[in-house]
Amino acid sequence: MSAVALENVSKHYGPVRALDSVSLELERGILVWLAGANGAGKSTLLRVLGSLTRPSRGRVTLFGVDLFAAGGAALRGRVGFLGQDASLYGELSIAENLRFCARLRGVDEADLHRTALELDLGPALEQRVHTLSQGYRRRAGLARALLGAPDLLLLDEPWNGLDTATAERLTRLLERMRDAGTTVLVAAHAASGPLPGFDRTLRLEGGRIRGDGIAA
Amino acid sequence: MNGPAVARAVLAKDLLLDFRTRDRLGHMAVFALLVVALLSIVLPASRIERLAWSPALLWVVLLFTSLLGLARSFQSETEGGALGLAALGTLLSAMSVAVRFREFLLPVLLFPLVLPVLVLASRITGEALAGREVPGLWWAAFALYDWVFALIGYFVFDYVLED
Repeated sequence: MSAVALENVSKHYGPVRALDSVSLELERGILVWLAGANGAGKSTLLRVLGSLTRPSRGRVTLFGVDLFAAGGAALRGRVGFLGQDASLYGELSIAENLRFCARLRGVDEADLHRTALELDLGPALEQRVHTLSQGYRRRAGLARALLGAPDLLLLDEPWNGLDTATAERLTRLLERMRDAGTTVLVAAHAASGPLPGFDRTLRLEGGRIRGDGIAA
Repeated sequence: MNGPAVARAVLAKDLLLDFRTRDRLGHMAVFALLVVALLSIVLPASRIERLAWSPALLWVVLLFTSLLGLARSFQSETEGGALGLAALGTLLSAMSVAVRFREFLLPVLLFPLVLPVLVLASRITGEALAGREVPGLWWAAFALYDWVFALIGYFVFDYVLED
């Protein structure tokens, strides 16, 4: 059974076709780069997989369960999502934000601190999010997405705002999660060639998949 | 995680957020006080007439004050206020949060729908202030209104939050 399966998925915003008959399958434990220019449909595809938006047409299956049918809501706990903004409460500290998400996901404190440690959030953990730099906010958003070791991880431009050392640390972390069985889908437009360490590259253009490369 | 545990987690987070953004509550309180102060000047001097007007004015002030917070409340997901207003207000503020003219749209959507609860609340307050017994049917209608909009919110919330 594949981790992700899309069958002719389309998403229209009025006359704009953000996704146009996308079909694909992703197996478990794979690191996938979703490439494409601005407006190619990368974020929409991630939002559909994160059940943040319902496709106009087509079927989305995660781990064998239809995401938008009865019972699909239960899948949300298995999906970690980082959108283009970190989706954190600015008036709460990073620790309070993470503790709230941990309670919703049934994650214990030890896992929360381990995740914070992996992203080097220690010095900023008790500071309110609105007082933090863009880089720390990004890291906090990543920590929220990683809580509870999700089976499917969806990250939209996760390296934005990160310094080189943290970006490399994140890449190693994603590789470790892939090795542990997590399917990781990363949308990023920056690089021209395949990202090092990634198993597969999907190139989106005008809402359609125009390239599908598997790393040797 | 089960429903009550999720509700407790959300409530704890909301209370903390409300505490951290208490300056906004202060603005709402000042607005309410100003309106009450103005009304106390312009209302008729006779005690009987003031008592007759008070319940309706109290609830209109509450409605306008809650509107100050509702438009922003869903952006940080802090809900508050009387239950009747909160159930409907939360749903409508969620619906209007992504709309460009939400400050305009929210009252346009809210006022007609909140009218029954406004009338009922004014009547119940009037009866209570006059020391008369409030008919059970009024309470039942109040409860029914809350349940209907709470249930609608429960079932349509996922759709409202989607694009």
